[in-house]
Amino acid sequence: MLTNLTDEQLVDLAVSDNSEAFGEIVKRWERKIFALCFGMLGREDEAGDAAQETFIAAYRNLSNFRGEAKVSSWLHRIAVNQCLTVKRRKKTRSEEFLDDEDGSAENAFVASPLYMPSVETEKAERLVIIRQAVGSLPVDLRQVIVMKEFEEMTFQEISETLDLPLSTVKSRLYTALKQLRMKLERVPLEIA
Amino acid sequence: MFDQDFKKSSRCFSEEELVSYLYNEIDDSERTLLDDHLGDCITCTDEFAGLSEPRFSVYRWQKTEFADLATPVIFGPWEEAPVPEVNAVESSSASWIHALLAAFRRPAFAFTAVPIVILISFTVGLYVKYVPNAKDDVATTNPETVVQAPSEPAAGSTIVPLPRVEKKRMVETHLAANENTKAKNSTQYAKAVKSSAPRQLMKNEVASTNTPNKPVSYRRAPRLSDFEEEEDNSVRLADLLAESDRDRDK
Repeated sequence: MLTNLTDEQLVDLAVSDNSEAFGEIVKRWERKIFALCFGMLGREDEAGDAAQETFIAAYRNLSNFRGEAKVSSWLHRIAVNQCLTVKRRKKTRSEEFLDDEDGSAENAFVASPLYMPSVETEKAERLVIIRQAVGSLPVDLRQVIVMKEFEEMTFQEISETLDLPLSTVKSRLYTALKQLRMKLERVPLEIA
Repeated sequence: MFDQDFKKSSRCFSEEELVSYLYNEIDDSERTLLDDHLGDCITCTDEFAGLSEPRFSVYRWQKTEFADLATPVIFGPWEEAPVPEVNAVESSSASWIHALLAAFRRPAFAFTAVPIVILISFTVGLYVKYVPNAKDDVATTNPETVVQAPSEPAAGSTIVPLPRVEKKRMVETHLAANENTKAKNSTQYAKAVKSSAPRQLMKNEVASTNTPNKPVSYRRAPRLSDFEEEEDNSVRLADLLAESDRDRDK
């Protein structure tokens, strides 16, 4: 049974032209990779495309997987690269993007004192703000917070996936949360 | 991880401790120590609140926009069915068939090749339908095989037997004339065949020119109108022979 095998064993089988083995890998990791892509990109359609491309790229490069790192690390690295490719492609096409280094997009969402939006509209605006704030974080910080909040991984798992010391992972998460706090403080935000 | 004398010290949380406490990834004994410290330290309390707010925002974003999202269907080349193994002969024949089909899938090739194929098929069909079999036609339409029935002498006429020398001369003259006639007829025949459009051999023609067991010829037979201009005044050998026979009988 393929379900009893480890990720590394499944990859070994997949390299030997066992397509079912790679299908099992996809089944195990598709939700987490999709979550990572969603957290990195902020949009369902882009996250779906990036997740699809991640597994296709992984399948094509099966023979390059040496087993020196964990399969989860390998998939995460491919997923982050795919997300960055999507963001670069969007920037090239001059479409609306998440990265907002100067904060100009956030300022657009600052409500004037005379503006009284409905509750639902306000909630929607907050989501947009937080989405943009996360999108504006540096990649290494963004990845850690997305893996923690969207993939719901433990610090130990993140450490193993990113091949980083546990203390480094926690330190990066601390820095990410501090930066998010600074970005959100520019906009009136109430915790419901 | 944590200092056992932490409760006694005034050291505040480290970044790592704060984050571990925030995400509840500490064991019970450690949590108890940190709970007690937070109750006494304003700095750590403010620090903790400052991290909780953005963390809760991200958590709310995740719950609102992502948690209920269905995982997209991930498909790829690993899901294709394996190609069954075939022997070399089948694979080679299948390969050129696939190549041909692939070529026809290209629009440019299809637009040029299909009309050509249709034209060739139409031409072959016309040829099969309208061009009769040459072998069968020769036996029925060769003017040399047409047998002319000897003409009966007119009623009341007197037949005078010819002397033998005269007969010989007449036969030689007849044969020479026949050679010319033959040449003229073949020319006429060739002209007639060339100029006329191919026509389907009618049933009565088939019956008149063919014996019951003879195969039907579909080549065009020369028409009588093709020879209308030509007057055949030659003396026929058959007539001479018939005349001589009659004389002998007398």
